[in-house]
Amino acid sequence: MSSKVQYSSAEDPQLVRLAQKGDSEAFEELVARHRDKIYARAYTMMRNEEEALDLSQEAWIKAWQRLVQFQGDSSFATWMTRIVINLCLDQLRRQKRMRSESVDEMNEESGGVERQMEPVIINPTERLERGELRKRIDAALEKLSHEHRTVLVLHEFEEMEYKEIARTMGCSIGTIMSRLFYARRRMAGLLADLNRKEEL
Amino acid sequence: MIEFDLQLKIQALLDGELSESEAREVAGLIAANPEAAALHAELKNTRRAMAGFEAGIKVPEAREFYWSRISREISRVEQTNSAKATPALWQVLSGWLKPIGAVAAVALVGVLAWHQAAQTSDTLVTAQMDADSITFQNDEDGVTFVWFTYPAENRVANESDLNTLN
Repeated sequence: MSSKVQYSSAEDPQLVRLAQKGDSEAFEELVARHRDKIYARAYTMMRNEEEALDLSQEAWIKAWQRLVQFQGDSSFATWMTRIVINLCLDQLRRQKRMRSESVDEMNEESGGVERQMEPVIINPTERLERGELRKRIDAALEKLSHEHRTVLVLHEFEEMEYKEIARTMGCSIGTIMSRLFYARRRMAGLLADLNRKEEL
Repeated sequence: MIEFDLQLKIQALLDGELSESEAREVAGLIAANPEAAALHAELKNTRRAMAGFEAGIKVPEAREFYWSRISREISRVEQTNSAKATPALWQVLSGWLKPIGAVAAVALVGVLAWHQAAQTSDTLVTAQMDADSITFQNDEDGVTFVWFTYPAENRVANESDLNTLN
């Protein structure tokens, strides 16, 4: 591999093999290909641009150091997202230790209003442009506690099963089901609320 | 209001987390209960709305700038690791020289003592070892050998005043 063009046309597994032998240009190409996805995962979990940049870059550094351990059981992108997720979870745990329990968390423990909430009958997201919908989801995600947001992200975007999320977050499957339910209902409520405000 | 347990089962059905028989049972309940059906529709809509959300999020930095920080940090970490992994030459040598020196000293003392004993039986020969030096003394010949381990690791060697050796 001597020219840039060859790197850009190479498949991920080939670039990984080259990077495992110490080829930093091959690794740079992998970063270029997947950086948006890795950053997006960090941003969705952390809700902070600066932290997401730091953690996504830290994930790439860790990946370089552990590249020899990557056996290709999953895709490189999946392996990378697991690294950034773990870094985000560590960071969120550190932050949690530094702050007191939020009202949202107490709500979850005591049942929360979402269990009793009437289902939103009308699809709150229909007739919305993709860009507008993204903005609304972004605003709604902001209002979730990090525990609920994390479960939602791991399930909806990382497509993890309940038991896998439970293992990753160190809690029971029941807690994961409850948190996911709460998070979805809250999202539905927030999106519907945004719709109603617009109609007034 | 439907039971919380059923609410969670409706969600589990949507997520494909139920066994075949459970899924059939919950699907039947949804078909028979408008409230359960509404909840199922809401969860489904929310899930659909979120699909593809992350695809719109991009790194707010140019490719080169983003990579340069990663590249710099990788170089720094690798330099630190290689410095840790490669000890200084003196550290490597001293690890070998100390035990070799001690063994050589003991061997020398042994050889000299044996040599003297073979030549004269009434010659006073003494050999003494301590932590930092080995002394061999032959009174008849007026010869004294003192073998210091190097670098000397005793209180005197650590004195800052060089005159202590005078």
